[in-house]
Amino acid sequence: MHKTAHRPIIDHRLWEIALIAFISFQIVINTWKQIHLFLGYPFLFSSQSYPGKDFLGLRSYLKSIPMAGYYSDWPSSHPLTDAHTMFAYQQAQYALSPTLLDYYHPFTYKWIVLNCHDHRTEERLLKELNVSIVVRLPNGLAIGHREKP
Amino acid sequence: MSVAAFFVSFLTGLYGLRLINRTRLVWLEYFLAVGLGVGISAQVVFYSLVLAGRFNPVLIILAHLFILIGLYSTDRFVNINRKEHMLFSRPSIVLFLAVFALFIFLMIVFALARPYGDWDGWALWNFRANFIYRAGGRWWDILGFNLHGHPPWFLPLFTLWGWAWAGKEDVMVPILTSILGTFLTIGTLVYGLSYRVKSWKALFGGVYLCSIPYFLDHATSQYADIWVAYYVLAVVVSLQRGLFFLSGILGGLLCLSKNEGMILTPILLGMSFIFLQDARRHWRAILAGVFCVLPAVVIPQMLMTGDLPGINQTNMVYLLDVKRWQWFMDFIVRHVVLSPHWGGLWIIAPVMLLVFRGYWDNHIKVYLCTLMMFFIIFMALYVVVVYDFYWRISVSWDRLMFQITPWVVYMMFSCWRNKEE
Repeated sequence: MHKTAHRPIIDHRLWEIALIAFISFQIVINTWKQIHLFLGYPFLFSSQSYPGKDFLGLRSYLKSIPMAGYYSDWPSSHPLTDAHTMFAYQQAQYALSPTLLDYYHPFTYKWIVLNCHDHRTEERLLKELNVSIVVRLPNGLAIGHREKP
Repeated sequence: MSVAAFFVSFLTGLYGLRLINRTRLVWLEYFLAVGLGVGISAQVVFYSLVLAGRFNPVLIILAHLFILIGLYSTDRFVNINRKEHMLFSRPSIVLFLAVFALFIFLMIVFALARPYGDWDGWALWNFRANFIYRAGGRWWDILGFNLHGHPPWFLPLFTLWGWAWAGKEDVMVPILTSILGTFLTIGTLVYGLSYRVKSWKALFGGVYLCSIPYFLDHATSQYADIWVAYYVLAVVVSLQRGLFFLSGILGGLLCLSKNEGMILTPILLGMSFIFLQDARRHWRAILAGVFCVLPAVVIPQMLMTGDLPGINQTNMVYLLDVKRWQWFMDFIVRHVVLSPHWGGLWIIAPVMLLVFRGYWDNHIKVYLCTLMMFFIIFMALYVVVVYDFYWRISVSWDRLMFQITPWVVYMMFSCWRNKEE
């Protein structure tokens, strides 16, 4: 009586076989998924373009500037949670390094990188803050300069 | 030339480990040696930045070669009677490479397909390296600059080590680094497991880890998470093998790899002191190892001044917010436990641990207690943030789970034993 009372409900060996079967099944399914992922990859080395390539044209103008402001007219309460704002900002930061771009206090510097989609917003801004455009790329990205920040 | 950087790191780690472990080396120790060498290289870059005040490739390479020659000479002197370098260990390296050929191929393809890495790869980790590379004498500026300069800096420092040899911002360095980290993690898992269970089970564990879709994909994304995953596994395995001083150094490197590592190391080592008699006996060696790396962790933290406005604001009242906890649990069940990209890991792991609970030893107890503490601390840290709690969890919880994945696989497979084992 005591012998049967202590016996596990399912034999240990059975558990082992069940686990091997389940893990093997997972391995096959998951590996197949990864092969699929690989087949769907644009797998040439150059498939990913340089992050911030749109900003590269501004690089030579900021070369010796340690800090500059960064202004985007995309409405956002906090860039960290806004993928659109953060993506563009971090791309600019990556491409224009070693110039550090301040998103939070963009108008406290002599130099400012402008990423405006709305022409009217930009015009109003330039007027209000007395910013003159130093260079503008064909894609609309620009560097502004202020005499007195 | 950047390949030479990896080779010098390997040799440095190898001769360093030969001094720590006077017995003959087995394959596992080769996988640990590379991790040690990579960590030494990152620190050489850090100290040269501090001493020279700027990124100076010649100084970095000379200092590193000087260390390598020093280690080599000491090894020749100390290990004069050592006859052979390596013991044959199972599984053989040929079998290991044959079993993992497909995954190594996939790993290389995934890494090459994203030469600049995923978002945080280029925006945070590689950005830090390219800033220091270009900024000259004002490289400290990044420490005062919000999220982008947040230390610890292991990954950017090692990237700079590769660039010092390459002489340019070579895109291959971060790619090779991510491949190396992934390969080391798999090797450490398999050869670490082979001391606990039969070789085929160790290989099975490695194959299962590689098959998890999120694992290879994220490991090759150039984030620092793969190095956290590697170092935590390396600490666990070296403690298991009785390499106490090495486990301390690797614990220090875990702190250097990412913030999470700075929380994991004290918990893991603390739990080891509680449960493992051997670790208690060798506490001086372990702590001495940690202290070897600590300055490179602490100095940048002390100098850091910048942070994102409001992002780290916390409110303890949220700990009592039932709604937040409910949402959190719901997220974990839906997006982690049941998510196909985790390949069933978070279902299989608890089942396996429960089935083989009869084979739990003190090491398993250390892992379980550490993991429990780790989850409690991180869940609490997530819950108390004021700013955008839901967003924060949805973008970063997976990464946290990724960091412990190889270790969890190691734990579940290392209790898969029977009476003969």
